[in-house]
Amino acid sequence: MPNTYTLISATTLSSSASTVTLSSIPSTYTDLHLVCSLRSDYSSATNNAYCYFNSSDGGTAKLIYGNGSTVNNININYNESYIGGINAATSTSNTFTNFSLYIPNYLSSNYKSSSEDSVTENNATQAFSFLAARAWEYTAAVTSITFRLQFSTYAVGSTFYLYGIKNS
Amino acid sequence: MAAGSTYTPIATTTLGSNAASYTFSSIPSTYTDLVLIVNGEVSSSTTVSCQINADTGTNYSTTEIFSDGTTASSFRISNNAQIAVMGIGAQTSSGYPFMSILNFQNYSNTTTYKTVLGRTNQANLGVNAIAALWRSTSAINSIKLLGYLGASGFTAGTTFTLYGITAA
Repeated sequence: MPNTYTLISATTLSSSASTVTLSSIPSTYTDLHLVCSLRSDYSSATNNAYCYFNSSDGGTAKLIYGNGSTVNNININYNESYIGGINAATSTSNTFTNFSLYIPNYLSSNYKSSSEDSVTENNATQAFSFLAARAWEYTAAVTSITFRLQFSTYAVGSTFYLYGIKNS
Repeated sequence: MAAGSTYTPIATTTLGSNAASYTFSSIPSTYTDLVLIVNGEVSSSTTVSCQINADTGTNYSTTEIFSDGTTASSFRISNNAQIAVMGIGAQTSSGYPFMSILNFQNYSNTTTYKTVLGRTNQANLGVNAIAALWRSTSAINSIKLLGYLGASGFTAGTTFTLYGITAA
């Protein structure tokens, strides 16, 4: 039986990057699972991060996040690919945000639904845990995934691992 | 010695017509954990639910955190006849699909009650996470997904896939 869970691409930043694109995603799998470790060079504790498919920077999403004291909600309609705040330069050193994104049926001709979880830990007051439900309102297959930031760059050592999952 | 496959598809189906429920039966006991992925739509608003081993007794409990993008909520239901996965809104075939990832850890042991961790999303409706319990020490050999409160259940095109994860 062929491998069910296969590494498609592995990217570790050796220099800072304002955007990271995982391109040429093959059409031979059923689902995609993206696992990332993210940090930004921006001179703050966190920086807002975005993730979108096929160069279409937008989507609809519902997010819930907690910071250890309060729960907050974010409602996104069509126009933004915000995934949450990630660790930035003044957060605890050597600390990277864990980000996981799962897309079932990424080749489907329906809108694509994705599930996203992330944790931005910090040995201080500004730390977050995000859950997101997202839809990419396009019927094309997902062929690339792009990360960008509100400010500055992704830091050296940030990693992006893309896996393909095959259901048979 | 080469290791066997760690992540293995057990069964998958795509509904050819609307169905009120779908059951994975005869689940082998040879894995350590199970991962169930559902992606699709419901023809009328419903609470997607889960029953194990055809148990319709009040042997389930669910704790949920949910956000509609505006308001966060949490609920708990005990002594229920099913696991409440999430309330899903009805969509057309070009609308927003829902997706659900359900994890059944240590499912085949005959010592402990069975726990389920779930993430369910519908981007135009909300995001949720659940922790659920089935009060039985039996090994899990069947899992049924159903639309509980609605009449119509899942629409044609909805996919259900079950994976087994082997620890060693």
